[in-house]
Amino acid sequence: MEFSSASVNKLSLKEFEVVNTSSYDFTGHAPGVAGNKVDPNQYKINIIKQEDLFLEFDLIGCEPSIANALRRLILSDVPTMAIEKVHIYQNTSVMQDEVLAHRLGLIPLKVDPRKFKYKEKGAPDEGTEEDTLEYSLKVKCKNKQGAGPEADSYIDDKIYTKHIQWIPKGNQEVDIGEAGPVEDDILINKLRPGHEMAMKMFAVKGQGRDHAKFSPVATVFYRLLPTINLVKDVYDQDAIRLQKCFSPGVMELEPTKNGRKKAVIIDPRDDACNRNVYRYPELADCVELGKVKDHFIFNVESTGALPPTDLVPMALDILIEKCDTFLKEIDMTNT
Amino acid sequence: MSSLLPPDKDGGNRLSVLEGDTSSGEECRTYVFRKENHTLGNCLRTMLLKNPQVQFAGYTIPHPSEDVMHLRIQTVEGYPAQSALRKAFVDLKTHASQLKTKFVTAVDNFEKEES
Repeated sequence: MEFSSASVNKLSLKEFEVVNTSSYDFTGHAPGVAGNKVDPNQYKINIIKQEDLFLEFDLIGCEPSIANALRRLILSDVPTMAIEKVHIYQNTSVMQDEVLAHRLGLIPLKVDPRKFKYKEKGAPDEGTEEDTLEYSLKVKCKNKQGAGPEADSYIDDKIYTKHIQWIPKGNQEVDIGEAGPVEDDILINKLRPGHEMAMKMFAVKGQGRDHAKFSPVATVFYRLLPTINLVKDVYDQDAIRLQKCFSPGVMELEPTKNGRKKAVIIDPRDDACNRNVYRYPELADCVELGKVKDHFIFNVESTGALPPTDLVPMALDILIEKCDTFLKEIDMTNT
Repeated sequence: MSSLLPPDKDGGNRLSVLEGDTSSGEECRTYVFRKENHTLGNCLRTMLLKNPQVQFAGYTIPHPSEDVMHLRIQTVEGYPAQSALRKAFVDLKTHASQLKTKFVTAVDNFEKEES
């Protein structure tokens, strides 16, 4: 096993292999602060971008298992509300009942799941105001008065999420306010004159591990921070080729005093790590590619129910709750 | 605010010990977790490996169709495996709380800088 000369912290991306990936996770080796104390400044978090439903942040100093646990928790354990039961009273459209019900389940709802309780097994579909949200969809497609058989002569032929109405139960109107779909223009079904849809939908709280409709994110992923080290100076034509090997913005050409152009690394963060350099044997030994093992660049994209800055603390709360549950069980068996 | 985790509908313990282990002393145990997977297993394993008194720590999911995870702990003489497990949970909780506070402060700082 080859060890990188640079540092223990860096993976090495060679042409046909990735080296130094082991994180010393065997017993007897305790990197960092060993023993009983947990270092309070171990972690560093930097928010890079936060727009609407997108969040990009850096997590530095973390173990890969905890970064992965965070990703897995956001994906499958943070709860959301989604339509679970559909009572179809009338559906003369071309789409089958079960396909329609499946589509309704996938619609993201703009509700905070923390205000609700999980529904109990075997409880009636209608539920209570604490665990169920009720919606109604009632549409009938008609011909426009005095119009010919053209494309735009129908009324209500395209059914969007804006046709779904929320029916508040009990005190929900006061406590929750708004509980409609996140987007108004998601196409649910297409009708022609004479088709009718009448149904009641019931949304409950669930987790992504049960059904993907309950996942609060479009996706969440992380990658490691790339590092590029220029071992030799590269000029002119070679420099232009070297620049093209990396993603735009990573490497730039700077003019030197002799009038030549020299390749300079600006910011390796945006590099896609495609290792294109190795396709050119004369450029292959000019750079050393690698990744920093404990610098995770997280990307969280929410579906709209919760802002992404709420999802990360919720996931960590779930992890803490799991630890508490098991600590309680351990202590109970002791006493 | 209600609990984020769903209630355990099947009842009984989420954590138990694999049979036949208690005869070899307090230092070797295989713990059986119901309804847990790599999310918790890999984190616990990492926390256990940081403990210098742990000689062996590993987790496995015997079959993907069953929601069960086994965690094997072997420790030095005189240090019960259960204490190692307890310490791993406490450490994991500390790490998660630290991450949470760091994240919330980072978001606050970012929002202040934006405005």
